[in-house]
Amino acid sequence: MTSNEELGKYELMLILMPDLSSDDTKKELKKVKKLIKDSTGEIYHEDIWDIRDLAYTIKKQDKGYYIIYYFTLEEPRNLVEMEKELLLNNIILRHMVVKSPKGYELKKLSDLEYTEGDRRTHRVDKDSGSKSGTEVKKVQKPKDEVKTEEVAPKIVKEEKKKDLKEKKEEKEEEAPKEEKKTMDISDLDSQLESLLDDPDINIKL
Amino acid sequence: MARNKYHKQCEFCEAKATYIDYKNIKALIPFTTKYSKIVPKYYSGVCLRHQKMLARAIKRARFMALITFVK
Repeated sequence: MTSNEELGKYELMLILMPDLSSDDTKKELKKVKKLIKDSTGEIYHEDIWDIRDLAYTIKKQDKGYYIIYYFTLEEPRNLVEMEKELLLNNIILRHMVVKSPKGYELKKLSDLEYTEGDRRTHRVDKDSGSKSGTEVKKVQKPKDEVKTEEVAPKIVKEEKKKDLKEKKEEKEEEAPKEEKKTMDISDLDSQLESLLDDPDINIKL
Repeated sequence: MARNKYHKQCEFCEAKATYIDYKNIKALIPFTTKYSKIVPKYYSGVCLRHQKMLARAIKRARFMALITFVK
């Protein structure tokens, strides 16, 4: 046994088939973990990127389940046999083992992902440096969109309910209830208008 | 020389990068053309040492389907 500092650090990136059930992927990943352990490896970190779009199709798949294992190896010779077995596995679309450099710092997926506009704002992501304000903004934007999207379907449901109510009331022909409805409808209209004015939302009427 | 006139320091040198990560797509894409080719260092101003690291990172990212080979 050599000391930990001398052990080579490696990272293994895998792309699995996207259409597997979560149990199947877990099974498959267990196999891979066993493989690494059998070849005198020790996993010290794993990074799950989950299903994401591939830049090009691989084996007729547009998407892939990404996962990265960071591990140390006592005997690097075993890598060859390890990779052979990974190649034989049909569920693994791609794999790549890379030796991570000295002093490599683990990064989160959010720091690495590319969004449009990065090309203009700043080019080099400085090594584990401070994050610029643009990144924070990017994180906030999607949240707002999610909220507005959540609001919209609710209103549609309310409208449907009111339509049903109106039909019932037309049958009953009761004056006071109708007034209440008109009030609700005017409120709804104002809400809808405010939603429509939002530049972030595109609703085709 | 025209190049010296517009010369600026390599961005990776300014950041004192010792390694360019192939997973860091954000840093790689600005150094590719719109057809996803690697930008020559006489356009981007990257020094030779970092251009080699960049090329390796881009090629790794291409293999793992993070960046396209050709658009």
